[in-house]
Amino acid sequence: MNLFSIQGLTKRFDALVATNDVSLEIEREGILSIIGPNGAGKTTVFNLLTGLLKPDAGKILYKGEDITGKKPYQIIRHGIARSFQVVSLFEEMTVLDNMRVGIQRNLGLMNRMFLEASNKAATEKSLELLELVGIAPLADHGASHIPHGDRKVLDLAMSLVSEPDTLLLDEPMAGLSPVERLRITNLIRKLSETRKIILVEHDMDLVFGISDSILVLHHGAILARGTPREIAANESVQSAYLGKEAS
Amino acid sequence: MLELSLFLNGIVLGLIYAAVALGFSLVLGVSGVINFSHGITFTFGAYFFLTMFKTVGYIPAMILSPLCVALVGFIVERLIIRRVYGQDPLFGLLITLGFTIAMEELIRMIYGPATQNINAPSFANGVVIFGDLLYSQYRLFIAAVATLMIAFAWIFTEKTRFGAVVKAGMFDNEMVSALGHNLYRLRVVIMVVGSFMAGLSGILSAPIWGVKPGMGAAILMPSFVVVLIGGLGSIPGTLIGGLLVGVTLSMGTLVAPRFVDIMPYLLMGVVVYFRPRGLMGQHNIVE
Amino acid sequence: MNKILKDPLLWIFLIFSAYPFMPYIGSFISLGSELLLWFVFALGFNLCLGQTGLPSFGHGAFFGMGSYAAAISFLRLFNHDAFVMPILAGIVLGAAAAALLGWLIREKKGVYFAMLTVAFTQVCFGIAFRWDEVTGGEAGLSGVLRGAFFGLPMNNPIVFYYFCFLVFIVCAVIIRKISRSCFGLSLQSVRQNPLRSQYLGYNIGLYKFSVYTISGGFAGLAGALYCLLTQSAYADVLDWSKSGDVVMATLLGGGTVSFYGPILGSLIFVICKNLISSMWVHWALLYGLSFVIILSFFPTGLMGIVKKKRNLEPRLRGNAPAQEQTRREEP
Repeated sequence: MNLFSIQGLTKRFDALVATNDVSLEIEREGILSIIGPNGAGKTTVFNLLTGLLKPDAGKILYKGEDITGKKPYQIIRHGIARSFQVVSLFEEMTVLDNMRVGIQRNLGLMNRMFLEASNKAATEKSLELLELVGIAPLADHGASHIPHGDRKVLDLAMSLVSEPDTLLLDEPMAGLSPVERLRITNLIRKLSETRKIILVEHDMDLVFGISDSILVLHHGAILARGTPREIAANESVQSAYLGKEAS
Repeated sequence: MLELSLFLNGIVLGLIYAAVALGFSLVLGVSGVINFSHGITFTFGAYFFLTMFKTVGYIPAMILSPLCVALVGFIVERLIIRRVYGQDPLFGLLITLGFTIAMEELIRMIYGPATQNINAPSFANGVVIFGDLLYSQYRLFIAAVATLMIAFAWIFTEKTRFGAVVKAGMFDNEMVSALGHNLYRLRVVIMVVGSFMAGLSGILSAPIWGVKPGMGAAILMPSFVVVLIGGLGSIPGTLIGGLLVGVTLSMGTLVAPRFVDIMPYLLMGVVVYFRPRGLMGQHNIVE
Repeated sequence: MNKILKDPLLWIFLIFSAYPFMPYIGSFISLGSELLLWFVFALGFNLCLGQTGLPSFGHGAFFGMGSYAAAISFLRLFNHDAFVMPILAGIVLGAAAAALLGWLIREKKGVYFAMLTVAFTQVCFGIAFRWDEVTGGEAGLSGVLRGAFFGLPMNNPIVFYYFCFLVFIVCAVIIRKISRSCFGLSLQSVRQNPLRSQYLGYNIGLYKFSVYTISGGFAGLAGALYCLLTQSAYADVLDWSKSGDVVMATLLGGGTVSFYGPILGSLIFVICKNLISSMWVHWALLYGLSFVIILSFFPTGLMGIVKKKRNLEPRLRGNAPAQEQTRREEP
């Protein structure tokens, strides 16, 4: 059974058709990148998959279960997590508390009501994850005071607390320096060993360097799909997207 | 016949509500501020008029005092409301509430707490006879002026370029500057126009309900309901909301006179339950 | 031991345990009781505003309902002889009303949330003001007596003061426990970034509903105590000006930046209101203008000023600058 099975997905905003009858099967492993010119409907697909938007038509199956029209908090519990184009943190909390918020979601209801926020179990689990992504030394700093690259990493780490088997990353490279890009690329590689990763990204070096397969969207519909090598050779992709990029 | 005349009263009342609520609604739509001081502009209109009309005459006072109220609106926007743009909605609500409480007390200090009466103008203090229904000329006069005000506001937003900017601003504040207009100036203009309309409505309603310090608070709450029923920032919606609330309040006296005050809220509850943005509400900045 | 000594709550408890014996102010014993119930009211309210960022203007209604519930249950149900039951009735009705409203508006945001709570308050006021048979209408209800509680004569103002003091201690400890628990941290996350909270798996509507209910319960409790203090209940207590008072008291103290803000704020607010209103007929002028001045110049309240001073040197650790906490542009 495939991971995602998407059938006839359609979303309109007034007259604009953002996603037009998209049908798609996504396999369980590897890194899938979604690319396309601005306004091709990449983020809309993300929002549909994660429940932020409700589709006007179509169906989304995740591991055979229908998740169409479910709310974000329900979809998370199926094992899907996402990050945002703009780093989305709890700005007034410390790095550690940012992690705790997510970790304690997994505790039982009674624990959540009566346990102190700074309990040992949540702290240990948070630090463990921060260690994994390499920002454990920053744990006690305010989230709004750490460098941008670290904020991006923290954002990623927060997506991991629900222990997702699918991670959707919306432009993980946006606004990063070359050094930071390398760091995030390595992190994504590491994370992809144990889970599915779906990316929306404009950085073609990353996309072609890291992806196992690439999906090209154009005007809300699928233009092409294949391995990086196939996509690079595809003529309609060249004219719709890569050609423009080069000029 | 009682039913018919109550119904007509309800319509007139509804037009006044709509004219007052319009300014409240536009300020909320463009600036995202719950402007409690909108009620006090209604009161100011009546008191300015009360002070002026014996010396300058009825019609001149009816034009001059709303202009003074518009000036008050301008000052309030510059000095008070602009401080809370973009902050938690409670800030705007409280700062304007505080101002309202203070101004109401100021009026009480100057004019005393008692209700003062103004007679209907001589050109409209008779009755009109339709078949066997006698109806007050003055109420018809109110209805006409209020309708004119609402119509002007509607034409203004629908047909002019500036109106288009106002509508775009409710959808997305950034669109205003994209269209080459200054958001701050837009907010001031909306506030001034809204205050003018509320002030004029205050004058219109003075001969019927009397002039008293608490009159603004009494009209503000129906405005709330009108806006929530009609949909934020929508002029046709505000008109429909106003008429519904006016008729409900007026006809409600036949059903349960004691609880007539809360009927509009129940109506609102029903509307908002089925249509969260109100009858004609669109997506807007406060969501 | 050192940690306990540094606890501000301990000092607040110590000061108020000595209130009746203080010179001058100690003779206004009912003012003391009023302060204590206001602390409970404002601390409970701040669970909504400061912790979760819910702009509620409906807490006056819950307070008033608590007050009426206590009066009605005392006069009608318990045959003029009960002390604890009316208080419980106040808590239950306050929480129930908050639960009802909270459930209806749990998905609403910002301005809509605030407006609907205002409308709810108006409905409650309308009912209380007109439903003569139950609420006594305009005249209100009077004749509520304070009976004995475990043999202690509650009609003695000092004994009643200490009862309020006990209630305050329990409530303050519970509320702080809530705000420091995992649940409290989740509430903070809902305030700071509701979208992210959802994507961490939180059903934020449910959290808003829960905290609103809890907070309404505290408001109802404060209202019931107020009823026992004044031995009456009037429609005035659930007017929206009451809602305005509690928001204002909370903001004045700096509830958005500090847990103790509401206590400081209502201390100053209630004393000033009582003082000025007894000295000048037109006190409402100053009262109204104070709203404008406080919100214009000290939007983060007194605790905000204190914290800003401390945060002047740039530091990496700890809280974000106080200013950022309330002066955030809505998205």
